[in-house]
Amino acid sequence: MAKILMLAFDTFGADSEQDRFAYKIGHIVDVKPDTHVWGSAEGLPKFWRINLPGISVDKVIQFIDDKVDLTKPNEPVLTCIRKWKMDANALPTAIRNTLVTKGEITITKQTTFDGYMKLV
Amino acid sequence: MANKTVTVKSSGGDYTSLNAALAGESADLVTNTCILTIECYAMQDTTLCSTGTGYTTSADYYIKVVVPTSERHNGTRSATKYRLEVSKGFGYVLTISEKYTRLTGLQIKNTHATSAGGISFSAGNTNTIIDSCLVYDSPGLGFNFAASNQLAVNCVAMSCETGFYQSSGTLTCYNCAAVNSTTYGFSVGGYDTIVAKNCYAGGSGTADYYVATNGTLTHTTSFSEDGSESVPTAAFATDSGCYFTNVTAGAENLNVTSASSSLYNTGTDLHADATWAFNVDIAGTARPDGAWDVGAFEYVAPSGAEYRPIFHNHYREMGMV
Repeated sequence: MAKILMLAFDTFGADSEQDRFAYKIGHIVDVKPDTHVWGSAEGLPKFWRINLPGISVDKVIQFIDDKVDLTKPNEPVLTCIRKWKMDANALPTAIRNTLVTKGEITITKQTTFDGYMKLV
Repeated sequence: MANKTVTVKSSGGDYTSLNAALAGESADLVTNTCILTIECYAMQDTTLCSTGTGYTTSADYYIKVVVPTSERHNGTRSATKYRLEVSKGFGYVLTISEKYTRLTGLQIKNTHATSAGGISFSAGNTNTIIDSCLVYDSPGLGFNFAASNQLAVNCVAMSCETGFYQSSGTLTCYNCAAVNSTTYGFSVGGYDTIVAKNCYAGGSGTADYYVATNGTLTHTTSFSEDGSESVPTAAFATDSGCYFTNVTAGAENLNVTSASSSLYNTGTDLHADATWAFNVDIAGTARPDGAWDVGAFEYVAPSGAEYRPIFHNHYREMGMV
């Protein structure tokens, strides 16, 4: 089963072009099996931890992918640092409050988690 | 603010992946007057990695990713040292999007069939320095330099599609090697330049060195196996030419085994080089003044058979030689 490390603050590129490659709130930074122990800096205030006890790593690893233009498959062009992000503001209030104050939530259903992830 | 050091360790460190460290430490390093050092300890790091663009850096304040010597490969693949191994299609294991970033001691592998490669220095991110890094067994590019004023020192690409690819401006390669590339060892794009000193390429599927129309390759005391782009030849072999330890794809070891090697003492001494002065090889062995080898490794004679390098330097410093 999986656990996720998600960025809890926005970073900014020098301009709008560069900003597409800056990490933002809700970007997944790491996906690990649930036996993993996070490092001392991998929690608040910089990160949120999301435990997914009913969901395997294989089912969520896609959410760490960058966004690539494959119009020419032999010349892939990176267009954004992440293809997906979680919209924390769209989370149910109680869950969002827990995430912001405790820095950690647990989601057991894949459909629930998938529903929180939005294409960038 | 003072300089800052954080660690990446499998347990007991600040971070458990280089990517988390790069994302979490994003800051204006110039305003903070901070050199950010990220130390990576022996482990297999399987997380797709990017600096992102959330930093502000300068020539004085930058990101420095370092694998401490004890945690680092010795110039060949090591499954017990820090290594970044990711299966990433249509992309790179590590993307550097910040100017002035310095990388030392990494080993990187991207096994995905549609891999774009190992490391990419993205467009506009100039003045990066990559030292003593390995990229291997990657169906894509080993080192992709899409920005100008890049420097690679003591770096090796093994069994990649193309070892070193420069597609924007100038790349300077000192004592680098690309072997068993399925296409090119060193490849220069149109209107771009690679300055290769003390470099070697061999075992390439198409050509060891390739220069596209209007591109430039300046080679000094460098060798190839095939003579492409008029680079002098030295056989990619264990029993002649280079006298490497192992040239088999997937198990390359570019330590030189004989003083008869074409690479031995035929390099340019760069210890006082104006661009980047250094005096060690990829394994940390001293390169003696005036007697540099070509390639990432300095030849170390079997015990008792040769005088160098440590004692020579010691005696020189004492004014005895």
